[in-house]
Amino acid sequence: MFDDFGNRFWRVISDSPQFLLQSIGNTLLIALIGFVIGLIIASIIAILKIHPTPNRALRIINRIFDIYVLIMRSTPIVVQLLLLYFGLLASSRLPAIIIAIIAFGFNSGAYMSETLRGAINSIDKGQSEAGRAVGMSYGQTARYIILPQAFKVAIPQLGNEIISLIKETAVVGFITVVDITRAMQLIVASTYDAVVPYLVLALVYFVLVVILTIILRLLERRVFSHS
Amino acid sequence: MEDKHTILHARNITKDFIIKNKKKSNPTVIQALKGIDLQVNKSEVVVIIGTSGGGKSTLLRCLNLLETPTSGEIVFDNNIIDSTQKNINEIRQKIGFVFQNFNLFANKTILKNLTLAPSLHNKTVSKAEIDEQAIVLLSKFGLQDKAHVYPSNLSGGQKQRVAIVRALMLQPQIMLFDEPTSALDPELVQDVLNAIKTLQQEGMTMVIVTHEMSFAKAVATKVVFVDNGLIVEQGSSQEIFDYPKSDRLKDFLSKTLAK
Ligand SMILES: Nc1ncnc2c1ncn2[C@@H]1O[C@H](COP(=O)(O)OP(=O)(O)OP(=O)(O)O)[C@@H](O)[C@H]1O
Ligand SMILES: [Mg+2]
Repeated sequence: MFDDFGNRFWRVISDSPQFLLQSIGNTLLIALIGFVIGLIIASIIAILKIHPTPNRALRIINRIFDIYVLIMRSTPIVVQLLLLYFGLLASSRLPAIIIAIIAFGFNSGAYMSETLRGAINSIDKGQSEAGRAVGMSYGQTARYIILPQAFKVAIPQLGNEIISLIKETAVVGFITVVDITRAMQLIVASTYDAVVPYLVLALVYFVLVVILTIILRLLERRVFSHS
Repeated sequence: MEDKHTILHARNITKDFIIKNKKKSNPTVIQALKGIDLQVNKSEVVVIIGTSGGGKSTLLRCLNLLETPTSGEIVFDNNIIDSTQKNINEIRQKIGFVFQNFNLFANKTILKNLTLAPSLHNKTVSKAEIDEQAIVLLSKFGLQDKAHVYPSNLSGGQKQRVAIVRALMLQPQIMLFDEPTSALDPELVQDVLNAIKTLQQEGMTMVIVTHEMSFAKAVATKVVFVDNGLIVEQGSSQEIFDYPKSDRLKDFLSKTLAK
């Protein structure tokens, strides 16, 4: 199984490094931009959901968010991806990678909205009252006082989210996006070597996650050294 | 018609808190305020005293619409105000509120705590000017060296004085205090009371909920005794403390002063 391992390994790497780098780039692009979109969606949902005095319109919006979160959490991401690509956005002519980014953005947004809601609730309610008492709007109080503290609380969990996101993007090959997983499948198909490329694949994810973990540690240390 | 010197008038307000049960059909209703009429004139210092759970905080929070009264109305500066109106945030700036637990913004330095709201509200005034104003006020209350530290580095008494300055930054027409010294260690109480006295001497209109009876006597132009959601008695500090009429007030005073 591992005969001539060195040569086979080298072939996978050197055959078309540009192809590999590009596919790794796609993996990162989908995960990172998806994460940012998700974070924005999650912030909006979380902020609107904890509004203390929702009016009728807001209550309806929040109900829609509930349904959205439920759907996102109770169906596999790969199914969402397929439905978006072959269904909802089939006629949109958007490149598949954009559709993947949208799918992962909305999916992780649903998960992170729960994380953020918990974090927001953990911030002392008195501070948002104080914000209102000095005439700041609900949105201003959220933006300047509550969210920054909530993000800080949520950093470890958001870090976990982005790490799982990187690994979950491995299914984007289903909608023709060539991420690193798809790239290795193609190499397997053309070389008839199923072991070494997949080992390289595992290694790539491993290295990406380790690098990300280190970055997150540094970030946490910086943020928490302030207070 | 409002007296032209009346700044704030709570007209016959009630407040019900509705606590939803598991069975949605019969929620518990807590009548925190049962019809309160309170008038505050310019430069008056109204002190609210009363038993725990009597509705003092709820009343104060209704005055700046942190709570929405169930019925009745709040008249501020000759206008009826309500929490859904567009300029409610402008109005709240003019009604300073100081909380029992300070509620400073934990993620902001003291200077930022003071300048955040003014800089959001006043786009025409330069940041330097607002900072300058903050430093002047900090110095006035003995906090000039705290501008660049975070709230977690202050003592309770310092935090409360910062909270007072934060409200003052918006040039309020009236200041509301909800038990401003109740969360403080005894040795820190006096600093905060002195800060409030300074404001009184400058003619600031104030409504203060407090359990500090000697302080109440010293600063109050009017004392209001609230019990069970109603104003039971109000009058000068002499009338309230030396010649209480109702049994409930007598009872309250004997218990409180005995401590
Ligand atoms: N947000 C709320 N939800 C439900 N009930 C409330 C709420 N706030 C106050 N209450 C109830 O309203 C009543 C009046 O409370 P309030 O806090 O105004 O009393 P208080 O006079 O300020 O008491 P204390 O001296 O203990 O601060 C109490 O029965 C209290 O339990
Ligand atoms: Mg109270």
